[in-house]
Amino acid sequence: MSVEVQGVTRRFGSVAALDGVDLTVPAGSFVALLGPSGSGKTTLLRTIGGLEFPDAGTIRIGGRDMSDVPARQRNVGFVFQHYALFRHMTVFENVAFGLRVRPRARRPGNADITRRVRELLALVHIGELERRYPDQISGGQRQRVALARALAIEPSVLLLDEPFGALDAKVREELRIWLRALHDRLRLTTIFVTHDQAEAFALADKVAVMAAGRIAAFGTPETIRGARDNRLVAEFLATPAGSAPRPAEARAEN
Amino acid sequence: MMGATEEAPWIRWSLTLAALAVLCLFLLLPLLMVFSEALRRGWDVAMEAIAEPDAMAAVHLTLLVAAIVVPINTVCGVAAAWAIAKFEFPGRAVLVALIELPFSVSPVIAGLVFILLFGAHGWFGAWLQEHDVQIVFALPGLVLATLFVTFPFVARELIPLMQEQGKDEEEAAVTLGASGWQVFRRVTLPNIRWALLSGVLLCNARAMGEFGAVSVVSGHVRGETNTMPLHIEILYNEYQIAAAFAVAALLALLALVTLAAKGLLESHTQRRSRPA
Repeated sequence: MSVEVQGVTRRFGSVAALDGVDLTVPAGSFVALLGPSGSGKTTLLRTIGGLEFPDAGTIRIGGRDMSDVPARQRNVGFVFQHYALFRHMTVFENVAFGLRVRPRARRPGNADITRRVRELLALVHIGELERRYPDQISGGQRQRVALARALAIEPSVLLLDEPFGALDAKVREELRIWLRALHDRLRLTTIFVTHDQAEAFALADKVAVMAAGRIAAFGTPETIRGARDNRLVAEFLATPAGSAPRPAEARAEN
Repeated sequence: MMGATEEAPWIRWSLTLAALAVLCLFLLLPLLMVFSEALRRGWDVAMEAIAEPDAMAAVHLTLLVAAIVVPINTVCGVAAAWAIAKFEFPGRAVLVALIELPFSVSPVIAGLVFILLFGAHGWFGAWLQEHDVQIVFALPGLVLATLFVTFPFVARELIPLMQEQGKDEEEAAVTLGASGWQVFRRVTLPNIRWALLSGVLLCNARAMGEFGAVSVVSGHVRGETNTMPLHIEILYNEYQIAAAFAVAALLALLALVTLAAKGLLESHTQRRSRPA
C-alpha cells in the first residue's frame, strides 16, 4: 500500500525533529530515508509506524488517514535497529507472536500458526533455528528473525530502522542483496532508514535525503546523485559520515 | 600466573576468613541462639508458648497483614516501576524520591504520621469517629503502616532491570498488534518475573517482621492488635524468655522459608541464563 506523509511536524521540546515533512511512497516501492544522525529519519519512520505522534500533519496508508489509528491496528511491520526480539521466547515463538495476539475471531489455529511460522522461517533461511533463543544466535540471524516476525502479520507496509547498522560488513552485504531479492519477490511497500549512502543507492528505488527534519531531496538514486546543486544534499553527500557506516552508532534520533 | 586484578593468596584467604567470621558472629550465631533458647526448656514448652491463644492470634494477625499488604504492594510496585522505567513524564524524579522515602524515614516516624492523620486527635480523627471507622489501634492501621514501610521493595527491585531492558520489546509487541494487557502479560511480565518474585519475597519478609511502625499504630491489645514481633517483645518484657524465643523462632522460621525460596529462585535464574 502507498504511504503519504503530508506536512508532518514533530517537536521534542523546542527542537523540531520533523519540520513539515511531505513524502509520497507509491505502493510496492522500496524507499530509503537517508540522512545524518539527528536529521529526523528515525522519527519519521516511527511516526509512520504509529510509535510517535505528529504535532501537525497527516499520515495516510493505502489512502486511509492514520491519525486515529493506534500502532497496534496499523498493520505495519516494523524492524527495529537492535531487533527488539522477545528475549524470553524461542525464535519460533517470536515469529508466532503477531498471530497469537490476534483477537480470537481472526486468530489462526495452532496447526495453522505452526505451518505459517515454518514457511516464514524458511523464507528467511533460518528454519533450523526455531528452538533457539535470541541470545543463542548471531546478529545476522537475529535480523532475519526480526524480519520474519514483522512479515508474520502480513503487513501492508514494512518499515526498517537501520536494518544493517549493527552488522559487520560481510553479513551486511549479504543481507542487503537478500533483502532486495525478497522485496522483488513480495513487492511489499518498504521504507528503510539508513545513514549509509552506498546502501541507500544500492538498494532503494527511490531515496529521500533528510536534513534538519525536512526532506531535502526525493528521487531515484540517479536524480539524487545529480542533485548536487541542492546545498543540503551536496553537503550530506560530501561528508565522510554519509558514506562510512558506523555500526556502533546508537539510535541518535531519540 | 596471577591475573592483574588478583591479590596474593594469603590476602585472599584472610579476607575470606574475616568475612566468614563476621558472618558467623553477627548473623549465624544469633539465629542459632534463637532456636537454642526456644528449645532450652524443651520442645513441649516451646509448643505450648506458640499454641497459647494470644500467640496464635499474633501469628494469624501477622499472616493476615502480610496477605493484604504483599499483593497490594506487588501491584503498586509494578505499576510504579513501569511508569518510572518506561516513560518520561513531569514529576518522575519526585516519584522516584517518594518510592525511596520509606527507606530513609524511620519506621517509628511513619507510624506516628498515621497516628497524626487517623488518630482520635488527628486530622481525620473526628470524621472517622463520626462514621465509626477505626483505623489506628486496629487492623487498618497495621496494614497502612506495613504498606508504607514495605512499599519500596518491589519497585526498587524492578526499576533498574526495566530501565536496562528499555521499551523496544514492548514497542515491537505493539506493532505486531498486541493490546496493552497482552504486552504486559506476554512481554513485560516474563522479562521481569524473577526480579518481581524476589521483590515480593523481600516485601513479604519485611511485612511479617516489621516492628517500629506497627508498634506505634498497634496499641498493643493482646490477642487483637499484636503482631508476632510485638507479641515477642511483650513476652520478653514480662520475663517469659522461653515463650518469647519460641515465638521468635517461629518468626525466624517464616523468614528462613522466604529466604530459601528466594535462593531457589536465584539458582533457577542462573541456570536459565544461557551463554551468548
